[in-house]
Amino acid sequence: MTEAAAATLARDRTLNLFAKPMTYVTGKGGVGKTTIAAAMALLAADQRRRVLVCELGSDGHLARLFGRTIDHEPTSVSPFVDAANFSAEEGLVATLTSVLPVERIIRAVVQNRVLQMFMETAPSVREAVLLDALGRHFQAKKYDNIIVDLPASGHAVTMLGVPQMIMKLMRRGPVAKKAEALEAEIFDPARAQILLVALPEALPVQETIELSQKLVAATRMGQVGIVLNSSAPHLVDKKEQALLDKIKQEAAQGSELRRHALHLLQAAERDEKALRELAQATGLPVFRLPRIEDANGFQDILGIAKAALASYVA
Amino acid sequence: MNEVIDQTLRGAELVVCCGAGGVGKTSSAAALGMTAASYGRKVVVITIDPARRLAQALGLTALGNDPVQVALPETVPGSVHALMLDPKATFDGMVARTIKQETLQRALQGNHVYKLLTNAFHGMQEYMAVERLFALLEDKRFDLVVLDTPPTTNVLQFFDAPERLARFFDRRIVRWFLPSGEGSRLKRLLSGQSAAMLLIQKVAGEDFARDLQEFFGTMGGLADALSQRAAALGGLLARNSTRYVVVTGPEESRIDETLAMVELLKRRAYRPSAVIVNRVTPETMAPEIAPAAFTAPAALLAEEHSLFSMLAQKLDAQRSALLRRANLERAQIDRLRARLGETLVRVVPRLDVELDSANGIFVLARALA
Repeated sequence: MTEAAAATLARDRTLNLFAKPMTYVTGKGGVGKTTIAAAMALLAADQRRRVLVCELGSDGHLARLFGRTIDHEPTSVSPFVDAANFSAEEGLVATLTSVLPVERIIRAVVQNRVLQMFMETAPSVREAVLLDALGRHFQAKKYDNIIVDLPASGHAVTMLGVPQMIMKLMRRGPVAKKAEALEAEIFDPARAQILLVALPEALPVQETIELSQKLVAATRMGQVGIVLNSSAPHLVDKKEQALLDKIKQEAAQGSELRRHALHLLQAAERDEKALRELAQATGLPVFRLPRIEDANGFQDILGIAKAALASYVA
Repeated sequence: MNEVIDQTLRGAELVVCCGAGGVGKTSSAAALGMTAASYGRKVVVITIDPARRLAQALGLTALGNDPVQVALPETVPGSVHALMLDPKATFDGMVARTIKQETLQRALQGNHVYKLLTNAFHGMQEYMAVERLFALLEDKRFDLVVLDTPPTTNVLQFFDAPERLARFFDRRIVRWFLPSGEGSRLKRLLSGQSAAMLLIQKVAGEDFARDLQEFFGTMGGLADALSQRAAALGGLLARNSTRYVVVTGPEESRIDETLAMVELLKRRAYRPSAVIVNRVTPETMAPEIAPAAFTAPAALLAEEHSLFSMLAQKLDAQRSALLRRANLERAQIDRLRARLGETLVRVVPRLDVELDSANGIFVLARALA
């Protein structure tokens, strides 16, 4: 498949981002997950959807992007858009309340220093509490769409597997039941989907393909597509490619013309390769988001990313 | 050698590479190893969960705690080995050393809580990296260990992992879940641990409660070994021969993250000896020259000229965008230098090689040094 054909393929398909009320965004570290998640939220707001964009206990990517503090409780960051960064510490009492029978016991557990230490260090307690916080907001139906900025690849797969792991571990009892209900709610394939983010470079493409395959095995949720972030900002067609090749041959070594022609060609080739490999290995539609060369500040980045995403969304 | 890299590697026995995901931390760690090898050092690079192609580039085909030699040009006097950490095998090994009875070991292998702990313990990878670290520092085949830390949300999670794991096995926690052999039945019923176990039985099921009891009954003794490790790590990290390298990119958000990370490190009295700004637009380092219009090479045919003028527009747009980007990156790098000082920052341009072969990483190593 040529790059142009792949681009057409991507253009023909529209990205159905908001049909399902829950979207999980993930990908290799540093590919721009948070930017895509936030841009998606702003785009949903443009369509007059009430939307929550949230992180699960991160060190504050959304806060940096929106230039304000973002905590456990959703707070408005833009008309129609709320943002939250769920915290395991703050969500613990609410989660305990949903599995423990008596308030007196909950208080005893929360106030006991040894049990507190156990909760802080025990495997998966943190993840379960974060997912439970997400589940509460999903169930409340206050938002038309919830966009979750998941951690990077491996951690995302672990996170999505937490309810199942709890069910396997505990088999019966209220906690296992709770985990089962949570899984049916927030990972329901009819209501939730996954969006992957990649970059047009060898290592991120490879990791995205592996991630996509792992997610097929780990969850019943479908993957709606791959956003190829930082793709070449200038498309070149076959004829232009041929001419660029000729310039490469004819222009003087070290000349500015030759250098920039090479750059343009290389960017196009990298994109083409990434599009082809991603599409072939995953069967998913790939949507290119051009590299933002010269955005000034985070507001600018979000605006450009939103506009680029909008061109694909029905 | 570049001064920043030189001061990092000279006299170093351990180089700890920190950085957010996606900045090229693993490839930079490998490149640092290669740089050291080209100065005669015998290096081992510990990687954790690298991308498969990068692992292949280093000759690593599977998880394993045995270092594999990386193929380097013959002219390189030193050597580089690499290994891809296997946290589960490391943990099993540690347990086997601590718990000598085979029956107990076998019981643990079937214990659900044990399985969960090895697979999902928050910080297990980090902790196991520390375990391997100590073994490799003792290994006479090597004189420098380069550690690629896992991409945690917070760099301190790595340094705190042993302490965290030790806390999980804290005597007070262990005692809580153990069946108490002392005291009357009535006393046990009224005591805290009994109530806790009843509660766990009630909410998490009897099977789980049994697994948990068996687990703490067997593993309780690990607490001492873990606390010792935590203390030893504290000493190792504070050594003068332990160096910290922060890997980052030239974007505003990356520089923000980096400054925050350096602050966190300094709060523990760990001072980075290098901040590597990776994948910088090459124009950032070139002197600014007013761009001239692109003119068609003489060899172009007459009918190609109209297409060329369209291409020239794209080339021009690309060049202006790159120059604007270079300006933004320069401002960010200047900000970093102003905050951290000139002697810490090493800028590495974006290279036109894919880092999926040993050769690609060697090219990066040359750019770094």
